[in-house]
Amino acid sequence: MADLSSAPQPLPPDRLYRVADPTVLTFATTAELSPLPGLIEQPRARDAISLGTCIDRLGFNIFAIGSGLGRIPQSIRALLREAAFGRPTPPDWIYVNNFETPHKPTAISLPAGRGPVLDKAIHALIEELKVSLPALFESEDYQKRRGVIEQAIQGKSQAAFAVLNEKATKAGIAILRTPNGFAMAPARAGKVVPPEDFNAWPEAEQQATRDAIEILEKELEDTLRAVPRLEKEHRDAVRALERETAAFAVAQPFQAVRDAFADLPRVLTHIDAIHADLLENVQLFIAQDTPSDNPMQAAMRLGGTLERYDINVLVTQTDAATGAPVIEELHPTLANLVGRVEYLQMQGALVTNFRLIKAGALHRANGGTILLDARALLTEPFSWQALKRALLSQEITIEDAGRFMGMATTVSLEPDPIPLDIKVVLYGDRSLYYMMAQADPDIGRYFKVLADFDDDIDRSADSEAMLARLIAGIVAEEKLRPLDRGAVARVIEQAAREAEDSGKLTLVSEPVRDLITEADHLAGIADRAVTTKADIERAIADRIRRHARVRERGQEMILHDIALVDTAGSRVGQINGLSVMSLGGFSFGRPSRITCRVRPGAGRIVDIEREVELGGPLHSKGVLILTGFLAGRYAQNAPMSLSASLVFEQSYGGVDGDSASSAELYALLSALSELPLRQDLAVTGSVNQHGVVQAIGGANDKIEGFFDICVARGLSGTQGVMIPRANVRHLMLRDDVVRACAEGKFRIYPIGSIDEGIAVLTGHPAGERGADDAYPEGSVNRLVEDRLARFAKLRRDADKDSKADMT
Amino acid sequence: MNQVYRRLIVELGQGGADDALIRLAAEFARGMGLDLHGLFIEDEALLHVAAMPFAREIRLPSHQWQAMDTGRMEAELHLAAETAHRRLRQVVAELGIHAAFEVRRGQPHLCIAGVCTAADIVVMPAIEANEPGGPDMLRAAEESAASVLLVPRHPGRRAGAVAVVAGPAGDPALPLAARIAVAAHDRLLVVQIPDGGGSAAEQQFQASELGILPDRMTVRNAGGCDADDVLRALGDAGERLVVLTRAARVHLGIDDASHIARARNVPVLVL
Repeated sequence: MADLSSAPQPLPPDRLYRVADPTVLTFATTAELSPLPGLIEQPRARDAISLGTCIDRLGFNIFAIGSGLGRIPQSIRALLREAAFGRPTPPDWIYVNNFETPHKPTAISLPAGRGPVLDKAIHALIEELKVSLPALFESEDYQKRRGVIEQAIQGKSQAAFAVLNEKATKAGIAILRTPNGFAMAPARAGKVVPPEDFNAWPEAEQQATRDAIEILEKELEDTLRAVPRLEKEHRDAVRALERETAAFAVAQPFQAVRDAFADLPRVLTHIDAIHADLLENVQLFIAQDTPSDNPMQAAMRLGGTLERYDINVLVTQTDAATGAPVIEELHPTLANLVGRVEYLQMQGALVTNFRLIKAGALHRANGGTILLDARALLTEPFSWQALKRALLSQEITIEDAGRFMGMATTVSLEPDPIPLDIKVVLYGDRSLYYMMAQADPDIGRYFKVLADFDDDIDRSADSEAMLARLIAGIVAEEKLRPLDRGAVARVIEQAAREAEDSGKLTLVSEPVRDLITEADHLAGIADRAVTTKADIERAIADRIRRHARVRERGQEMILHDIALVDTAGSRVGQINGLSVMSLGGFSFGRPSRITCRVRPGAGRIVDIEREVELGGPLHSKGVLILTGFLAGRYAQNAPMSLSASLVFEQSYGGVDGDSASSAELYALLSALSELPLRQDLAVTGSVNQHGVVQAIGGANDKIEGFFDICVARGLSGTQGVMIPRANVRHLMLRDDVVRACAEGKFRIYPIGSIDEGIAVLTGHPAGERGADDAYPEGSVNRLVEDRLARFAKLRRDADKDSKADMT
Repeated sequence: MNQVYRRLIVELGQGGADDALIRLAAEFARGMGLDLHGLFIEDEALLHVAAMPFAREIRLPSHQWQAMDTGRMEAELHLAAETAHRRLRQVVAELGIHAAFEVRRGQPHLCIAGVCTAADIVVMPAIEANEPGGPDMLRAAEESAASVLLVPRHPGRRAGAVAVVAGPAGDPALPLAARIAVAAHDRLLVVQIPDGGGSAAEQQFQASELGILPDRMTVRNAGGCDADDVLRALGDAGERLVVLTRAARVHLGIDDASHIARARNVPVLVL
């Protein structure tokens, strides 16, 4: 009789599920708890963020990484706000017209909150001048002085024409205005002589007239040449008068504005520029409604003649007490990031001016912190490069994506770049960070601080208490019903299940938040004021049900013997493996039949999955390890003369991972020893070359997947699952599984080695080499070694026969 | 008797009407509820000149002499008319009113005389008599049955009192000026000239009948009948329009009216 006294025993129920610590659940509902916002036990990330926010040097920006489901920005926002509170409030930024080069608007910074004040002051100034200047220019005094100028200069022109006209009249010549100039013609009694009449004149008279015209033409030419000079004189004189008149009128209002901003030299410079431009263009105030055909001039108006004097308050810090801003840009297009210049369509042309410059997130966050989703940033054309350029040059330059692509040919603006002093916090999942770090060396240059958020924490009374407060925080934030003690306990336990470790709690708060929200909805339907454990259980069950269509179809196929999986009896070279499928965030376990056939050969184990390219590299690795195990254990004195083939039966999709490698090894040993394996057990676990069974992922799902099949067929009391011993701590099994185990209807075997596992599966001990270097009779290892020896002999005999045939 | 006007005719060809003049005319027509009528006169004298073999013109702004020919002159007149029409359309579109447009060929003063009736106001630039084309235009205005609105090159005010050089009782100038002042909520300034009409009291009564409050009306005595007397009387009135009575034309010719328009830098409406 085989000695199986050392064979692994099924796990007791208390090892299958760890309940929440009752000592921390001393409250009636979460309403009694103080909510815990933001970070929970993330010392590494917390320290990194503190470091990043404190070091005010180029490149010390933060890249926060964590699970894809983590609410990193929400978690760190509180920390960033805390850090920002201590930083000085950044200045306001305005764009103003550059009167010398209007296509290059000028950026000016002002102390926080004073941008709008300046805007208001300039607006009030212009509004005042819009009333006072036209009145001034309609005054009697101005009109008189202007009249004098008009008459003086027009007089000169008219006098010259009068002399010429008189001469012409005396000579019988008329001066005529043509559509494009002047002409002369013979005249009688003030009327032009028709050609036929002129031709009837005596030749001498005609010639005299022509000669007179020739002389007068010269004088006309001289007179006309003087006109532009006189007109310029007129314009200059009028402009000088306007300047003189306006200068007096605007002096006091301008001084009032200057006094208000006397402490800001750049603002004073701009006020002076407005003053100078206003005196040069005082006509804008007089003819405020005069339209223009010129699109650029029209662009300068865009709603008012005097818009050129407006202030474009790009960014203002209205509340200086809040410290530096913390801005999150969820849609970091190039324009949303670095700002944009907008256009208006006017008379078929796209026109713009400094007032149409719009701030980007970098402007709003300048002097503070900006949070950006790395994935969103990378998927927006030009944004990543623009951010790097801004960080390198330490200034924000408004760039036009259309221009990069050659799509925009419109005349645009080149606004002054604005100095950039910002802390950038990118966040994303780890794989994205690692990929970026590999593909772009600038990551290390611009994001020197890595804040790596843990996905879980060790489970303890303290961490459970903290999670309870986090739940209270979610309840408060989402305005949900409070959870009673039982519900909180169940959520804590589910957090451990999410972490796939009874000794851990997930820090990925999104599933917890979703669970509480769904349970709250169910509590509402049941008209309960408090969310109970039953609501949590129901929410979990409902969620599984919503996602379980594929799982159920797979189970049906097994139960209808379409997919062949035995749950009773024993077979040689056949075992139940367990795999996990993940679809749309829902994962479930699924049993699969693994079979093995052996024959004499050249020491090769054929992985049929790999041969047909259905097996992934990890699976292939697991199978190759089996060769190493066999060679190390059994082929010490002779070459391996085995040919074996392994296959996942009825597997038509890909197989990857090495969690089935122990099952494959059991099947191989069974095939070699010709000992049948129990079919009421399913196996998971990887194995190394020394036969040690190693931990795998998804233990809970795998156990539950086989359990469901067994339950459907009827629990025999002998059924169970063999898992790696290292996975025991991960068990957070469903209540029905735990109950079945407690009642002895189902068993979970913790397995440390292949020898332990094969003993459970075959009912025969594995056996250890004795002093004679041989395995005990009847042991699995002995049977395997003997079979391999037979294969080796057959191989040798065959080789001899072959050589003899050749000679 | 109240004079009834129907059209405001703006001459677009001879006087070199610019956008400001067209706009002022259009605003005046809108303010007085008149139909705006653009008139472009193709001066037949130009075609006569162009037919002469030695004829040439100095073209602006190049100041280059170029031989003239009839065909090109026809084309340039046509083009000038089209340009004037386009400018008129643009201005009236902006003001939201409508305007008719007409092209006539002939002697300008005859054309104007032929078009204008007593129910029209014809708008002309306030040019000097000795400017090229000046005599013809002023003659046309003088001989016209229509009233004439003489507009200076750069009108100085868009608001202010309406000044009227008063005529005898029954003359339409005072009622018209009063109506304009009431509509524009402006003051009325009556400038009296010798033999110009009734007493100040009579004129105030007449104006008050038309809605002018006593404190919104001023009467000044010119002390003489020529343009300089009127200009002195206007003094610091800050008017935006001067209305000259037909009776005053006995003493003040169209040249004087043009002179007042230029000196005061405001339009002068000669009835």
